[in-house]
Amino acid sequence: MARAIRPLDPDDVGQVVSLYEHVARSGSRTPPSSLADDFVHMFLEPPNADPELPSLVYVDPDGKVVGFIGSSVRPMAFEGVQIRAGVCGQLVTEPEARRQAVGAFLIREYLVGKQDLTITDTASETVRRIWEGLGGETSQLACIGWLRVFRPLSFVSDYLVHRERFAKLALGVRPVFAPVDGIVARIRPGSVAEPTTDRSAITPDELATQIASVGENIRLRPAYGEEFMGWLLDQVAAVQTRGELIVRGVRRDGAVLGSYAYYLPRRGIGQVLQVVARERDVGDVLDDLFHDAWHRGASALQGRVEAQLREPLSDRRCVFHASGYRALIHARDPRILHAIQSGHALLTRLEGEWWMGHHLEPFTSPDAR
Amino acid sequence: MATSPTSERVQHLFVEALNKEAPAVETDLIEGGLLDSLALVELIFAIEREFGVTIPLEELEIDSFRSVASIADFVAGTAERAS
Repeated sequence: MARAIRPLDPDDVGQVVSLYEHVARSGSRTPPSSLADDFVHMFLEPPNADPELPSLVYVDPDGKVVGFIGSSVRPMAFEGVQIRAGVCGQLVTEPEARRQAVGAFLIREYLVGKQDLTITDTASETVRRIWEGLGGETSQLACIGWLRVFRPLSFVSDYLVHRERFAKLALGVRPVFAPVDGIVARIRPGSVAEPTTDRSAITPDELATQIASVGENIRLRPAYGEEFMGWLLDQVAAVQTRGELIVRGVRRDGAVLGSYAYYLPRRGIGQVLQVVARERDVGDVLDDLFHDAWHRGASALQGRVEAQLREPLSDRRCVFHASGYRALIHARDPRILHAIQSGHALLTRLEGEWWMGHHLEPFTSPDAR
Repeated sequence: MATSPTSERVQHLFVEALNKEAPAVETDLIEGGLLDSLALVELIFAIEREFGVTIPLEELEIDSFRSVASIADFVAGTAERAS
């Protein structure tokens, strides 16, 4: 048998999750019980499964899977025309096979697929160099994160709790820090503006409709439809390690201004997935988002910079920083790349794999997801 | 197998661009673990520069990069098609 790259087959899943567990999770070769089910659910049986854009495995001459790249298909519209975007992620390669360029050949095979646009938003520096070497580009703006702090002392402890060296200290000081933040908020009210808008739950259908119509200058946008949007939000909500998924529509006098989606951990730093609004309403929608997160107890919010958010974020005491994730794109049609690089695309964390929790979730019970 | 001028130039790229010892013409680079992903990409850059060719992503197959000899054949074929 020769070395080969081929579409993921249901029979490969056991080997793939074993490899994934070893490389991206615990280091063991024995994955938890429901990780395989989740891979099947996500990569073989999503509602919009497209056999032309499959996940791929790299198989060595003995038939052993030594590499995997996951594929999620996103229907999109470019200048009103339906196109397909492939989100690739969960790239793992057997450590012994890394000197056989397994990762580069997997990326190459995925990039030459039938999709019009390829996206990955959690790439390492090594993958960025490979990707660019194979003709892809880095979406520089999407590599920048933003941060809005609401409760400074709690934020410090929430930030440090994820740093191994400081975790114990952070947990110890949090009960002291939180009341101090409360006192500061009473002395200095108004650090989070009171919104002039109303917020309420938004259905997948309403969200899909809003994304399809918002933004006068948007040339590239998701075109999900109700069923796929509902499925996608269910998958996002299932990643409980990141917190509760909050999705809200923002209205004023009954008229829809926009929407937002973010993860709110039980305590800590919320992670914004998406903000959708017409350019003139972005500020109002951000004010509503910040107030909602602050009101629910978040110490801060983090997100990814997108062109239409940059100025309104800057006006609202947000700081910008290198996010640590590289957002990479590839398309044969230079107009699609130009739309993204010039800020005329609505691409958010929902149009990537950042939110996926394969490396985070415990997957310990069959109905974990 | 006798070395050709093209395969000699490819061998030279291993030294020059990758800082590696030049492999024998028929050495299996993949099975021998001589090319990791970054080295492959750097080699592609170096080949494009050295030979003045553009390697289309669609033609970048594992077997084309299996040995110095197969790379030399691949480069010659790519140059021929381009002309």
